[in-house]
Amino acid sequence: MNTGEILENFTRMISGMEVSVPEEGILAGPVRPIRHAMASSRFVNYGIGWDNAHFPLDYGLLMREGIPGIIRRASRPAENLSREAAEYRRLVADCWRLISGYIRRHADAAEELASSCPEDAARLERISRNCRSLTERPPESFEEGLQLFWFIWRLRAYYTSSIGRMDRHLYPLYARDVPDRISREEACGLLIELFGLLTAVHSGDTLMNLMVGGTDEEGRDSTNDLSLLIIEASIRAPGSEPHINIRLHENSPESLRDAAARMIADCRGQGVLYYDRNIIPDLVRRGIPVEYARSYANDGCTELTFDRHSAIWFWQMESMKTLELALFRGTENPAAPHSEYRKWAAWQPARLFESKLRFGFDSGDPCDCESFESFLQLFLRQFRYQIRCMLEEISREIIRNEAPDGPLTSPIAAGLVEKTLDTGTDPMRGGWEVRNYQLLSGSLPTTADCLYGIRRAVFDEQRCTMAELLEALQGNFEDDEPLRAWLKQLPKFGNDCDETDFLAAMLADEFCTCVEEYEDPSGVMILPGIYNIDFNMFASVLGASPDGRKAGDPICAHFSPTPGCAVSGPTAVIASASKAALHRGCASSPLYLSLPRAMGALDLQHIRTLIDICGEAGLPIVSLSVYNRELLEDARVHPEKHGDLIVRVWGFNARFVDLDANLQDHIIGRIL
Amino acid sequence: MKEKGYVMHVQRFSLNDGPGIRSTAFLKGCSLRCAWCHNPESWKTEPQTLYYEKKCVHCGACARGGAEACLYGARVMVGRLCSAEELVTLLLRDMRFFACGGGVTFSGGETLLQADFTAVCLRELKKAGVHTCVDTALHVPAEAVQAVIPYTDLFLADLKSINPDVHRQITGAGNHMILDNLRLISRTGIPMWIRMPLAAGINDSPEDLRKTADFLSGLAGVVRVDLLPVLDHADEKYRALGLEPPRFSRDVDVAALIHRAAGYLDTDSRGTLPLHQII
Repeated sequence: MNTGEILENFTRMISGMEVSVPEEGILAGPVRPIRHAMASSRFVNYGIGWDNAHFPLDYGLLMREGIPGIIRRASRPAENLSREAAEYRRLVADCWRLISGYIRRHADAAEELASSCPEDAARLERISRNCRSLTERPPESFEEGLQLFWFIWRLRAYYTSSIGRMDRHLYPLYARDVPDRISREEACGLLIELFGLLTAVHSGDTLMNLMVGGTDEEGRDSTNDLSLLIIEASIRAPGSEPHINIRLHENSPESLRDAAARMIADCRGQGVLYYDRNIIPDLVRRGIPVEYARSYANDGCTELTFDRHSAIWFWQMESMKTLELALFRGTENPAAPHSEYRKWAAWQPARLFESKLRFGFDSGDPCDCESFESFLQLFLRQFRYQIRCMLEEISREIIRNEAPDGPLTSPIAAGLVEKTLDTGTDPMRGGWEVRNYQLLSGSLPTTADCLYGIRRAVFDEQRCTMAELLEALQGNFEDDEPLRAWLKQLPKFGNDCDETDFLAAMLADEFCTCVEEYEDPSGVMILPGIYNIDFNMFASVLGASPDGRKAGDPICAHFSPTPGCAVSGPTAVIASASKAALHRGCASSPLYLSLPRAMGALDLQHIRTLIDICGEAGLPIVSLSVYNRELLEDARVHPEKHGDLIVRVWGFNARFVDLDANLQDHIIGRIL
Repeated sequence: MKEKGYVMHVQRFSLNDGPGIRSTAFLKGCSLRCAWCHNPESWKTEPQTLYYEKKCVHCGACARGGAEACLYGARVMVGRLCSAEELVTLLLRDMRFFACGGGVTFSGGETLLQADFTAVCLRELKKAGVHTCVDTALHVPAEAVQAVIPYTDLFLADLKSINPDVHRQITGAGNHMILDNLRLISRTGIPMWIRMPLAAGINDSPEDLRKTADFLSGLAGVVRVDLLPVLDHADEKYRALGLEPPRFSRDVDVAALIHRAAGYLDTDSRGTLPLHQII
């Protein structure tokens, strides 16, 4: 696609956009629920250039420059630009002019409504004034800042996108207003209004991750009053959006830690914790300049992006399916199901899922293994092979992206990249300072439980031969129930049991080493993450496994215990996870810890302690949640009564009743 | 640490057995038989088997290999002989969580029936810098209490009734020894949390509660009183032991029961409220 086509599509997109002045509230702009759009097959790519919407834009630049500033910078005379760069820069300027015009249409519409509706004129004139100002200068108030954010966020992607460090980017406007021009309470009301709009988009896997806290580029604590107000507003807002993520470090104030505890205790799966001390050093070790490392936020899920400095591309390699390929010599378990799946929501269309692993590589005959060590080596051959295949796939993508005739980045995203504005460099080819490509590991803890099952059953206690085990797996244990029950009751990851935990830790190390040692031909340092996204879909295409799991039963999320297998309480789960060098998986290596609300005398102080200890235990990212198990179980039976129940899924929060049944099971199964 | 003791269970992330995040060792054997006991498997000191009929698939594994061969949790062995060293090592696994006001609690059954074993474990935990609690019904000789006093930071002491007749009726024993032991601890200055299970119409008479208040006001070191409503929580365990479950506090307004009792006790009476009542 060339710049002319993009401009043509962009023009068509903008001219087709509805002009929406709200009936109440102050933020103009269309909501367009995604669910409606997808259900009616109107889910279209506008063809306005590349943007996977999984990374935050530089909203700080947007607030500083405003739309006129961006247009001015992209139009400023520049010497020695290639024809392509000059054309691209012109495209950016033209598209942002169209955006400006679209916002002006809101100003005009609100003004017209005000004249015909005297009893509501003050509010409508305020909307009109805000919108018109944004077309003439940078925002000068918190309210204008939120309005500008909402327009650009809404225009950027048809469905949804990541938000990033809002407490950094909007703080200068907030500090200008509060408390002299507006009260803190009024500012909170504005945030709640924005959060209401984000929720109304109703997009399911929403990508709407917002990061607060952390440090500035020099390493100083950057928590401010807006960080705390965002958390407060999120607790008070009735909906699920945005998803709040909290960066903690040694100098994070007590107020931020207390707010995190309150948010977690709110029982809506909100408040994922990121521990700078266990993340930033490894990013730097992987070659990311420290000032960019310190600016990290998260993408649509839990993977890291570098707010203002990068986009994100990620691949996942499922280790459980890899184990199946190792056991069946490069092929699937013949009895592996191929049921249709829904990515997350019950209302989505069902599809067949592909693992994207490379079939056909025979890593050896498991029946020839005379010791567990030799079987482990056999598995690791398959594991390394699949990792290598994925890494090579990533390299090919990098070459495609960075080729001179590679895809053009969307002019909305490009307009918020300083270097692009000044030089016309496409963000993907040098505009963004960090080339953020990631490979994610899949379900290592469940894989470790399987390896442990093989070790005990076949080698240590010789309950069965490898051939008998494979036969049992092919038969989904239908004729081998005693073996399944025996495998099932063996110690599992998540109970502070060294045998399983160190196997999982070894797999994590092996994965990170393979990724780190890979030399990408383009020189990109691909980041490893101990993470998976589609764990429920992978589970749906896995045959029975040597941990006593039957075909289709759940596998774990990220570096967390398999649902239902952690029976020794949260401290044991933390102990299990902390045995792995998770910091090496610096793309994202989260632990899910879901506590039942009715857990003894659980109070805020206990949650505070867990928040602090998880960081001290070396965990990089923890999704610490408190759920009312009985309520969730009732919601499965009576969804009509529980439309307001919100839970954490993988990197996002959703209304529990919207989720597909197997994800609902996964979330209940995770509760300790 | 050659001492060995009968241990029923170790609970990590224990939130109801003292301040902060704790690990609690439940020792086996009890000198009382409280009518509402929630842990009937703790009465006998020796290990025993529970049988959960609902979980049994009748595979016959137990007939060949005993309770330990059961793969379905239908036959469960409760209690095992454990060395102090092994137990302390296990309890110290959560050391990092104890730093924020938590620690280790010894409970039961009646942990002071194995006072020497308890004392050795507590001594080692104190050496490691751990805050220690002893959760006891105090129906034990004074020497047993004295054995743990040097290593105990906080006592969680039960007082089931101030009235000896009522006490005998509901626990099978009088309360003379218990009250003496409370006075003994009081003289040491070690802080105590008093825990009073309340069963409507049984141990909540105004007269007895007033006497309880008088008695407690004469003790030093009582920093907190927990009023705990007696509820039926352990039906499955009774059945697994082949026993008929007791019935308590059915159709009782538990909050009102606690509120009324708290009114008689001239002390800072607060229950340990679960999260959903706090937030």
